[in-house]
Amino acid sequence: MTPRPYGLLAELTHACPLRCPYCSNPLELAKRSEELPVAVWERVMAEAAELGVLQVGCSGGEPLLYHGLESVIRRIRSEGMYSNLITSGIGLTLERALRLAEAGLDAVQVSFQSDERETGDQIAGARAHDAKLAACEAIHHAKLTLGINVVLHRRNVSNLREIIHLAERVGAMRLELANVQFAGWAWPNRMALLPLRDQVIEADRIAEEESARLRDRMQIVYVMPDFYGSRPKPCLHGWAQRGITVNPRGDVLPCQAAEAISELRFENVRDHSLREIWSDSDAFNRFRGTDWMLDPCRSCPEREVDFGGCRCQAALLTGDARRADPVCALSPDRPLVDAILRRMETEPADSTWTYRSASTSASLTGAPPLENSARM
Amino acid sequence: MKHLADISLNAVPSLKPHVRMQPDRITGRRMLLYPEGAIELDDTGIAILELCDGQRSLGAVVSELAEEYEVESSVLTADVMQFLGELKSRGLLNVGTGNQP
Repeated sequence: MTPRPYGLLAELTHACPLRCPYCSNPLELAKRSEELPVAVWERVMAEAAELGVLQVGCSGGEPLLYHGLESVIRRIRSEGMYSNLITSGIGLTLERALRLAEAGLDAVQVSFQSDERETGDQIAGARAHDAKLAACEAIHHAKLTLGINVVLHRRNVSNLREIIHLAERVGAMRLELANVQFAGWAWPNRMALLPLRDQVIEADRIAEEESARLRDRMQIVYVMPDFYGSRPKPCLHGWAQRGITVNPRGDVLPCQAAEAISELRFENVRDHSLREIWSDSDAFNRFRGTDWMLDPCRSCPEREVDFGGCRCQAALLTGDARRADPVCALSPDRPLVDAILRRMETEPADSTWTYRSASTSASLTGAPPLENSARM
Repeated sequence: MKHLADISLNAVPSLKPHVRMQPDRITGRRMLLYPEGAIELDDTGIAILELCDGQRSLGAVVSELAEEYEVESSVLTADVMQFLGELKSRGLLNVGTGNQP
């Protein structure tokens, strides 16, 4: 039986004032002229609610740059779904926050790159930190609920305690701390982004300590980095089981990183209903359930626990999306992960990265596989 | 059960403003929606939350439920506290003091 989707991630635009080197957007960014019109997004929201979707994340790029954002939010609300705005905070003035609240927005999640201005702006590749602090105030004034998310990596994970204190200071109800995942722009930048083993051990300890201290006051969601584990994460709770991503062009993806799997072709909401795509499309059915699995996953007693891990990670590292996630100690491909970790331990601390931008987008997508290129 | 001590019988519990209680479009059952999450409520949960209106104290909620379902208050208290403690630990519940509901 086809499962029920609970969440929809609506990537309204890939345009963004920030240039974070770990951006989860694909290397091939959608142009503004390719973006879906508001009327199509409104139809998508109606179809999502009919399918059973409860939570909609309006994301990007920077969703505030999408001209029809308020209309999309209004439709999400009128369909009875819960709306979350996932934003850099840039452009979220008090006036805009009030307008969004009036349209029925439920909650806002602001990204921070660090606890302090200098590193924050350096990671974002833009003057952003102070604008984010101002956005948090606007959110409170508009009586919207504030959450903070921070992508953790080698350059900021040692500041974890200070980052948690920042979230507390700006009045966040929820703090999402996700260790960098190697899809999108993070893949070519992985050597500069992967945290060191000692950093991870320390971060795990701090996250646990602070979660206990802040219990009842601020929810801390901490996602461990899987490279240092021995079992994969239950990615997406299984492929095409709970969530749908629609990108700015209207392509419908089982995961926001799914374009990393080059053999997949995605259907578009301009041509098909969300229901058809969710139940019948090849991209959604390809890795649904367990029939697609190869050994060791196929015969693994934990196949319904972690679902073989992340398909995108398997594709990026092994070239075959059907193989076990290589972070799994039972995978014959685990040496690929260990080799990356060994190489990374010898990488200088100031190793440079490539910022996300439209021009590097073209050069990176035309480039040969990056496994062999030493430094960016 | 670890949240039992957190809410006093004089406290006035209510859902936080960002939490929405509404029927699910597929199952018709009532559920709570909040950032990045949802909880499907059973009949007990619904009965408890309908009384948590920001006016009644926890003690009043328990005694009304006890009367309605003809159960001893002492039996109900633990269940109600556990349910509300769980919501509180997820940041979904306001617990006002008796003086300032």
